[in-house]
Amino acid sequence: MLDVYPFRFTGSATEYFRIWIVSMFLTIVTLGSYSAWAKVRKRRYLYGHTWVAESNFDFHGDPVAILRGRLIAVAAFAAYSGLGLVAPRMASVLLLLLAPLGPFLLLRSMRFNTANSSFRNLRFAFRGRYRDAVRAIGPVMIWPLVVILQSDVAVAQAEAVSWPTIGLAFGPVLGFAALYPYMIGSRWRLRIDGTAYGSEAFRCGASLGGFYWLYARAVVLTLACLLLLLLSISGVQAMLAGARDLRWIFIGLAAAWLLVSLVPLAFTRARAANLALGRTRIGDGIRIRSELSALKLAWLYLVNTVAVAGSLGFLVPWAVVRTARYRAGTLALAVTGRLDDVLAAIIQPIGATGDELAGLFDVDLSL
Amino acid sequence: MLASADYFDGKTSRRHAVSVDLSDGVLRVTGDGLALSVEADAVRARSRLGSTPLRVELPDGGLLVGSELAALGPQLPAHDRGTADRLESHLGVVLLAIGAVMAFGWFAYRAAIPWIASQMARRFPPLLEQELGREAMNVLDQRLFGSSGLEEARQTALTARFAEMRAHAALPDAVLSFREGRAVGANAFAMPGGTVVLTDELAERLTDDQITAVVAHELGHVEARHALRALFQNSAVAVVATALLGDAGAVTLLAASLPTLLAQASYSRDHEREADAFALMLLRRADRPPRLLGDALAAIERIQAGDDDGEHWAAGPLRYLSTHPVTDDRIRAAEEAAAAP
Repeated sequence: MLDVYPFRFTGSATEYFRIWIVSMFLTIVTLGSYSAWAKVRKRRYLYGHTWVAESNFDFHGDPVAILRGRLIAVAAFAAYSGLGLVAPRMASVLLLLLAPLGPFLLLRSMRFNTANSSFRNLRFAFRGRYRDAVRAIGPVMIWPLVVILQSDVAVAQAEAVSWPTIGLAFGPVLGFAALYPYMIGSRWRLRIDGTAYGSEAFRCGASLGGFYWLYARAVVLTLACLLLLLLSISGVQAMLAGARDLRWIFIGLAAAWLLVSLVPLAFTRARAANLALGRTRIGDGIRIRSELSALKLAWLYLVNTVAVAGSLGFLVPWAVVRTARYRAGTLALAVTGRLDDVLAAIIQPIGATGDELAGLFDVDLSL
Repeated sequence: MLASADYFDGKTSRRHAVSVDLSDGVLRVTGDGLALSVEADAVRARSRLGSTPLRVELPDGGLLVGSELAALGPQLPAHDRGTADRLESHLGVVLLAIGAVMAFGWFAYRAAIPWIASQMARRFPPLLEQELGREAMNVLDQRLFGSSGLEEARQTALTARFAEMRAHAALPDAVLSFREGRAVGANAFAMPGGTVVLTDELAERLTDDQITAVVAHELGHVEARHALRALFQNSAVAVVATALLGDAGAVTLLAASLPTLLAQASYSRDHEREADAFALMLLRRADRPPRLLGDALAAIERIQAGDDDGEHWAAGPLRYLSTHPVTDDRIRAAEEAAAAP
């Protein structure tokens, strides 16, 4: 016997706009300090309006931890930029030296967000492992090394166009592209496998092969979009017979760029989420259903982009609410047996508060 | 006062539908097999947040959730509506916030960022700036330019004109370099550190006098350290736009790019106007006719428009994306300055 409980988002754009604009005003007035409190407040609003099985979610993050994370990030960014101006090579080397820190920070950030989320007065927990975090973020960390090597050798070999030069020019890009599905799949799995609700662990059954197949289709889709736009641009040009009217070319290019950026993005995000979440089990009796439509998501992104860009940012709250409403509408829990019976078996494990000490070093870096 | 709510004990995830009563300083929770009594002083109500249901935390770890609890709220001694909620609910505050954010945005874009950038540029070590310019020049020489094919005599003549302008601008470290422009075509520009590059394609199409005006304009960029300022300004705008619009999620980068591009383009136009004004001043100091600037601009416009009479791509609303002010406006400004005593 299967019961399906769909998610629902009940927030309103006007209400969220009030929270958003007052938060921004207070952030400016406090020279940025309030931003951490603003983030907690906005997230509490979005969580509080997300419902499933007649209960909503809550967020308990400590704004001070968020502020700490942001100050660290700003300092790191300033140091990196400064170094980049003075000694660009050193900047890349520095990134490389700090690379092992990356997976650690990713874990900490995921843990902060998960452990501070609750449903029906029970907290979620996160127990991701370092080696899984390395898989999820590794390729991005070794990218600086590759960039240094490539620019050095490219400069030295500028005159000789040979196989080594071509290999060095395209190799890193192709290598990164080949590892990208692995990275994204690993990130989803880290996120899901590491999560637990009360005593029930989440398990993601999606295979990395599934992500590769997904991205292969995304590449084909991107090429198709590019081709479509090349054709339409030349079609438009033919219509304006002869006149080398740069304005149309410019508008065409802008539309092309928008389309080629958004459609594959929506496709990969929708399908990746469906793949990862759709194969997720919570404990024994609960499964997640995710039915995002790539087309609807692409349209959503397009309207959001135009609205936010056109309103110079003031329609961000409207875009956020729209997106939240759509995403909630595509999510559901599929439960075998009665929901209350199943969830009532979830006992809060004793000792969960031992996490408090670890929480001292909590830092939220998702900005 | 009876309110219906949901009760979660914090040990299991079971939802209990209960009735909550507050009287004589005691909170009573009944329903679904439960009968709890708690001192009203001992409970904590989470701060109000828009229309989300109120959450009341009980001392034993239990939680009450319900919109109807809001009616009980004011009676709970520990209840505090919260400053943030009060501000967000007040229409006047919201309107003030909108106005203040817009004003701040305008101020940051028009005044704060350019000022900070020019202060940073002023304090930037000149040696470092020259290093930056050299690195950039190397890259351009490898990827773009070819060595100049301009005859010696012409190079000498133009270098002399450059030296003259340089002297009047008091920029002894400025250097004139000749290059074959190739893909760049007829153009001239200033690198950080004071190197002014002149392409053969431009040198061949303009007279010595017109080139004098062009290098005077470029020296204006050198004097004001525009390349460096642009670097700081453009980065700042990109960072601020992304930070403010970070909420937009997946489309933040795309959505932030239009305002960023507009701001960067307008900064560039400001720099061009400043360089034009500097050029006119230099020409006057050197006792050369100021209208040379207008001449040079018109000549360059003709070269770039090619042989057809196509309207410039950056006409109408698209001009806000152009890195240079509309040439007609620049020529007019130059002619007005030339006509003035």
